[in-house]
Amino acid sequence: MRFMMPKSFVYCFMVLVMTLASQAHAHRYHFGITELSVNERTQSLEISHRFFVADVERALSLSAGKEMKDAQKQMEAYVNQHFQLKSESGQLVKPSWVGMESDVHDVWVYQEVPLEAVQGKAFVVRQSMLMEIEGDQVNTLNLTRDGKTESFTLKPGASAVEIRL
Amino acid sequence: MTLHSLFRRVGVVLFGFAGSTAVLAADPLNVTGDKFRQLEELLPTPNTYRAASGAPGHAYWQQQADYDIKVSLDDDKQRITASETITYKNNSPDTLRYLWLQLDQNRFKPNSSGNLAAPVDVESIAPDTIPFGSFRREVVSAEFDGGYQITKVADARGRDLRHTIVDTGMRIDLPQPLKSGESVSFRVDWEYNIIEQKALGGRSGYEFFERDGNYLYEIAQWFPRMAAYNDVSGWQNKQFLGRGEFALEFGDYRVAIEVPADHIVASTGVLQNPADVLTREQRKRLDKARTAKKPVMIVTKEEALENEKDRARGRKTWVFKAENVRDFAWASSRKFLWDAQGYKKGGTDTLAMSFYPEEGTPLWDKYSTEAIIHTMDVYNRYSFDYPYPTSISVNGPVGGMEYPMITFNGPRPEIDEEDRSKRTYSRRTKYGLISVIIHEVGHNYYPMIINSDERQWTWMDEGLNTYVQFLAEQEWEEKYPSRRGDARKIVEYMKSENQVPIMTNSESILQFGNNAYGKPATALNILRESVMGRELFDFAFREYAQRWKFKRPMPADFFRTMEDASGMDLDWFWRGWFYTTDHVDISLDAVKHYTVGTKNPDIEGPWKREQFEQEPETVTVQKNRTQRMTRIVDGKPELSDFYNEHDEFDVSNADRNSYQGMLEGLEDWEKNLLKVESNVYVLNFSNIGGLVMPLFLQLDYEDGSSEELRIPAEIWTRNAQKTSKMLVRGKDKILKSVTLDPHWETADTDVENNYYPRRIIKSRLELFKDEKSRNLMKDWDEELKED
Ligand SMILES: [Zn+2]
Repeated sequence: MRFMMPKSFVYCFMVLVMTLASQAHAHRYHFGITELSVNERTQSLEISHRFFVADVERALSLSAGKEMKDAQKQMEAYVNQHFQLKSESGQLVKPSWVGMESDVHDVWVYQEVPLEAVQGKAFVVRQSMLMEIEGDQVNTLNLTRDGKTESFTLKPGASAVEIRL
Repeated sequence: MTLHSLFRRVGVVLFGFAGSTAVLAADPLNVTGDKFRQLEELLPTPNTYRAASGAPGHAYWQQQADYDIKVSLDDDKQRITASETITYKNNSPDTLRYLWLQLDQNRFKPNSSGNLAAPVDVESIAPDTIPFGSFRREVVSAEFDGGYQITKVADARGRDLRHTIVDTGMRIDLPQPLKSGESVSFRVDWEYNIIEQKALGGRSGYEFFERDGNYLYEIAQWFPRMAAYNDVSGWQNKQFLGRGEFALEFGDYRVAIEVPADHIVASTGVLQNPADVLTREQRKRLDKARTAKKPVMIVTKEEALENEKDRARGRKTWVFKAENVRDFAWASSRKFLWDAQGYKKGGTDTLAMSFYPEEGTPLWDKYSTEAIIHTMDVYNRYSFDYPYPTSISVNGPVGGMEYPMITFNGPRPEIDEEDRSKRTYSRRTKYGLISVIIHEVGHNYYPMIINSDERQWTWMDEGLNTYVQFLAEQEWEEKYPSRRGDARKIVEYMKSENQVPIMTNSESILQFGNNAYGKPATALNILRESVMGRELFDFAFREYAQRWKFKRPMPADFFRTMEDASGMDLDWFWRGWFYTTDHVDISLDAVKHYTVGTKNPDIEGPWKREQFEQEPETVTVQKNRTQRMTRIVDGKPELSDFYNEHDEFDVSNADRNSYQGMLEGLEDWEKNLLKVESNVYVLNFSNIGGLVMPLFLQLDYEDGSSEELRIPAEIWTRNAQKTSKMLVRGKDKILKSVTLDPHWETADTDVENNYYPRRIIKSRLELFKDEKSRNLMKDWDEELKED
């Protein structure tokens, strides 16, 4: 681990500030779920991420007065940084941003990739959202097709998994 | 005639899919197979301590631990110095040669098991960085001189007792074995540095307010306390790793808390010396609060702001007594505002109180005490009348944590630092606060009074409490945004395969919130609304609370009581929801339509012809007709005979005679069945998810009528993979559509296979897109408003 590099210090410092500014909250869950589902009808690989608003607020350093829905831009950058699909040849496949919605507890982020671009290929999927601030964050990756779901458990130290679409 | 030949199939299958292949869901305990197999082999054998009914047995026992504690808070060093005398009564039938105590603060020693075992992500996405939260905790943990310094362990006469510290536990060896029925008193002295909650997390700690230089202390797990000893685990001396909470004994407490003279102390128990620590005015206000209809300020905002400016030089001692509690916690600060309101109803006679810094307004003064009272109002109905004399909610650094009579709750409004009078809070903060107060105050019932073993089973307090929390939230206001409780909210989790069963030890749980809070709470809500019905469920659930208040229940006691009090065999439900990770996915595979075959050739012949004529012509027949094909028999009538006059559907006298002959051989009831003019439907179901559930059906008919049908889960008894249901309906009742689980009450993970005929179910993402484009158009079309 080479965390003495200046770049990382800038990054860490940002997180330090946000951690101090954040609200404490009831029983921390440190859990998120990402669904990759093959929609044959719309020929789309649908991606949805569901996280707790409280956790995301801390990660984005949002104040307690700000509503989640006003943080689209920040969220998009954050998701793109932490959720990645990489092909066997090492190419990044960038999903298009569909949007996000939230209620009092949860935030859902939607992305998609045309099915033809990914079908039949193998990918490394990394989903490390919130792992940079919580050592016990657990993200579940569900891959659903033909009504069947495969699940992968992603944790700090093992935040990526290889799948075939 | 045999009855199985009674039906004739109507035309073609109305609807049918090749039977879905039932996937074997994950079943780590290997308990599926027979989904209705009785639980006896998994549950402990009933005995004299725990009866087969689920009630405490006639020889039920539990230990008693009484505490007399003197504690001093050092506001300069954020340090606790204290001394206690514990009187431990051995009510067990066993002789004890040593005692185990819990040293929870040792969790914050740099080399504690909890710290050593914490993993870290070394490959997070941004190169050359490490998770900051982990980094900070690592650095602070290594620097922080945390954990107990035990300075004395001595018997009643002051002679040192041999003791051994094992991480977060301490064994005291008794000079004389403690026989059944005997008591022993001993003394422990200790000190420790209070953790900064925001840096190290945890269920207690201090918060520093930079602006005015004040500290706010939330003090818990602050004294060496008796580990639980019981008939199921013996000593519950599993280490405290940070997640599995506590297993404790009931006892009486007298606690003298010495703090700076200008501090206000909130604590478990009843204040014994108000004249020493409160002003005459404050005592007068407290009296008034007892009968007030809304919260009365005991320390106003102005008084608190004035108080936090100065530093008193003197010290004051607040003395509290608490009876029959399993733990003791307190909070102290010179920043506290304090409000109170009495609540008296049934067997409850208590004072609800809130303590918060000025930073908590305008949210805390509005909602906290009201939320405490609302919680008791609802929980009393579903469990028992709240028995303690106070119920407190404190705002400080801890996000949400429960102790007897006192809870720590985190949410605060946002303050504009340029203009501190400008304060806002989001919807999330508001409902977050109300929900967390309901949740933590609710923990007074589960597990503070219904004293389950949290170190072992998180669901027994978190799951049951989250369930009643849901009921209380729904009684706060219509459409209250509850996080957990509704079946539809648990679907994503249920279909994930990386689960462990609810019946998993606390430290081994994956996805803590969903496993120990969400799933059990939802399961109980489903059990109540969809399986048992409210009346039966509520009676049994309350019976469990009544039986086990001030006692220590185990999972089997809950399962057994729910069956014992309701008269329902729920083993299949506990097995499926609590012992496996199966989920609900039931598919309506086919709907077949039959009518009664009368056997009367004069009815059946024409009917068969009608059916035949409804079949489409073959392409060959069609084309031959369009081409006006000539046939050889057309030109040569001599080639025609009897069979050209009568087709296979024509009825002969021989048919009629044989029908009459058959009728004569029938019993009257058999003859009557043949006259029934009903529509008969056979619905085929397959169980894809593994979890057996009742079948809830909505049947819509072509005549516009509709009915709902609720079929008990026992329909799966003989075959848990496939089952069929026959429905007999009147002759006009032609089925148009069938919907399985129309109200989404079973957490069925795939609703696409719940419809006849099949319906396309849009994904959440598709719905979101639809919504977005619709709103966009609406916005676009909106006319410009002019003043
Ligand atoms: Zn809880």
